[in-house]
Amino acid sequence: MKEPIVQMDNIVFRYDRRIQQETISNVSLAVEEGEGLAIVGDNGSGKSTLAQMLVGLLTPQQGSIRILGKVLNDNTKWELRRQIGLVFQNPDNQFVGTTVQDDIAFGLENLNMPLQEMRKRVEQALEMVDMLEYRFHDPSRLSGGQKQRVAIAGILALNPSILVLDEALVMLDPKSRRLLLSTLHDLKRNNGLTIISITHDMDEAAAADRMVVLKKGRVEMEGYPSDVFVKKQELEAPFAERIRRILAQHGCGVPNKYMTEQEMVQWLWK
Amino acid sequence: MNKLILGRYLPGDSWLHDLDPRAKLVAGVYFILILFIANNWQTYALLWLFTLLVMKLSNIPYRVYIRGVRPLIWLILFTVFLQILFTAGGTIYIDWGIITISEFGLINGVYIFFRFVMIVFISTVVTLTTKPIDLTDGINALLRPLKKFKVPVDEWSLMLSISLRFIPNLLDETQKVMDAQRARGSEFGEGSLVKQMKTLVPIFLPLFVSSLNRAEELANGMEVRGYQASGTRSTFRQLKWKFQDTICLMAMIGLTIALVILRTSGVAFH
Repeated sequence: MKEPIVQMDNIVFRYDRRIQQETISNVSLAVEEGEGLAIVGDNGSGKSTLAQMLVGLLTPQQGSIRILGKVLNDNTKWELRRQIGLVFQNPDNQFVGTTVQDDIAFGLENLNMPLQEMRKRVEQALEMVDMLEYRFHDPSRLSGGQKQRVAIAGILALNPSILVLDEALVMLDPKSRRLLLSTLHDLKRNNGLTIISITHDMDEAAAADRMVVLKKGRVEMEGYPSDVFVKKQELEAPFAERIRRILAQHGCGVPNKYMTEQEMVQWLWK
Repeated sequence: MNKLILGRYLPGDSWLHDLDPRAKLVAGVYFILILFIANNWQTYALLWLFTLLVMKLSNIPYRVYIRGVRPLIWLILFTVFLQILFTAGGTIYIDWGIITISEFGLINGVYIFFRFVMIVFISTVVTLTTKPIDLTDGINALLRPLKKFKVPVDEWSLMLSISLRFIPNLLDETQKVMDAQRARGSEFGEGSLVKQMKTLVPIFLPLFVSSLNRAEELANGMEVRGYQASGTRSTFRQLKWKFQDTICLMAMIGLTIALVILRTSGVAFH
């Protein structure tokens, strides 16, 4: 059998060594090439921590991570980051460029890529997320969903083998989310892109090939989405979602869709 | 905030907007230097003519420039005042011990006033007609030779462009924090100076904290996209030297020659 593209063995991680509580305790996961894996779990279950470890932003205290057969460590992380891209939840603080296309080009500039090639890649990436007409816009003035699409394009332009999405689709409206998901699906099918998606959106999780439920830093359940949903009838809704439901019950006119904490705060501010 | 003109960019499509930032920067600094060649009314008249022509070329109304001088007017007048009081020579109009108001003092004061105002006008022309990011690119290109002496020019210009990129975010956030404090009964711009200063503390503290968080998130985002401070990077934004840029520099040379011809040789004011 082929070696998994991502192999995590007995990962243990604590943010503070003085605290006994482990953010990630003894997690082992394998992801096959071209697979779509969804990771779900409550806030504080360690999902984002896991994502940051996958790209070498955080180093596990115990255990090892192997990507494309290479052990991820300080020496290999720069090389491996060309293969694995992470899109964060909050697009605002990820933009470096003052226009959309400048921002997409940032990652390519870092690879010291020739100008012609960069132009081509920027165009392709913007096309993929349907943002080409906004190429000269200021990213900070776009809508939340558009920002997230630009953030994803910034990673897709790098042509990674593995794409990690840390709640990177939550601000999209249902239509553009469907569109983007189908684009990602095409990339998965045609180019063998591996997608690890950390999400609260159960529809998105249901569309994945496999699903992992994290709870308090442990893998609580793993399997086909259909099986997981049957076995675990009530996946607890996250904090912002609970607030949203309560507000909706009182007739406060909250939007009828899942919101991140950030969005909820934004909405409350309006 | 809306009153500040110096350092602001106004979009437009004038001949000046179209100039290469390198040409504009070089011409701007050069103009400030050759201001000191002028020493009689003919040369000052020529410089004024040139300044007004350049301002006209920017397609930005004169009142905008005048607003740009306003915040500096006291500083300028103070300097002029000192010149008038302490320059001796020529006919003496008023004589109070060490303080004398003389003919030369008055003339010198007027010249200095003109010099200051022209410096402000010309630098305002440069910033009003150049996008901050283009200015950064221009500075980067002009400082490039310093790289030979191990000056981190690229890092500086990236830092500069990132700070520029986050200004709108910071302004939004300031507004938000101020609204939050207002909602809790805090009043700004009222009471004694000490009281006003005190109301600023609860604004700057949250801003400071959120900026630090923002910086960390941005750093993570940049790292994931392969940014290494020491790495060699290609550039996506290209500066293109056009014929009009050469014309611009030629005009500066022409101006210099005219100034040298019109300048009074020897001691000033004769």
